[in-house]
Amino acid sequence: MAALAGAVGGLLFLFVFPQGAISTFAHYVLHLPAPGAGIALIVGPLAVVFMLVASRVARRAGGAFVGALAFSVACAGVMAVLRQPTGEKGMIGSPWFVLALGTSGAVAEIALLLTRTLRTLAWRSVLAAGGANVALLIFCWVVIFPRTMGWVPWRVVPILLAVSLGAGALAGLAGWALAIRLPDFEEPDPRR
Amino acid sequence: MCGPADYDALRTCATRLLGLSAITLAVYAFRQTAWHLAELRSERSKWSLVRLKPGPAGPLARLESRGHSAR
Repeated sequence: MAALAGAVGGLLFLFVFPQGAISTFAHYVLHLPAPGAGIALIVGPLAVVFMLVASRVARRAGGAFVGALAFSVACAGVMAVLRQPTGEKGMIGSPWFVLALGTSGAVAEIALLLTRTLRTLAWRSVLAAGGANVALLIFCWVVIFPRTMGWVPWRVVPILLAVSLGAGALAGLAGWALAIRLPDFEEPDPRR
Repeated sequence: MCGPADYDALRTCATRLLGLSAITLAVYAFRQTAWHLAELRSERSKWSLVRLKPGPAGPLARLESRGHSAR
């Protein structure tokens, strides 16, 4: 179920954001600095929402990680089948993208495990989502963009980290709101 | 640093996002309406059952308590 949730997220992401839309929105509409604004503001938060949903439907450790992998593999698979180029940044649909989202999913998973003592799922989701989104951005800065666009300028780092943290936290709230409305897949509610 | 602006892609994105939101809202509204209708129906059937049942102090119950058949 977690893989299905992640794959649905990946397909929705590809459908809603055609190539060029994210960069145009982040850099030309919002005037955010490059590189990584689109990752921090759109790609990461959307992936994080589906990671939380995957974690909820799986109801066991590893759900967020599997969801993140399924999200990226679905994107890469569809782009490979349709023979779509990965773009000049070499990000979405590439094997590096799978690795980046896998890292982000692992961070979300660890954050969810470490915050297990917190009573409210909302706070756990916000912390996990913020951490996962920041991890995705840092992975892209350190591993992907140096090969395609060059190193991130230092003056851009604090702005994009703040954007990433804020958008991740909001995505955590959205993921929590979505997850608690889902029917329980492990123990079906007899009233439903 | 970043690629050329593609406002057509952004317009497509906005249209698809709006379309998906509209579909989600429509499905949610349909589900809520169906749920309310089912609830109303079950309430009505519950009340009709209560009305048809003989009360504990009704004439049928008195007859049956004396050993007579309801017929």
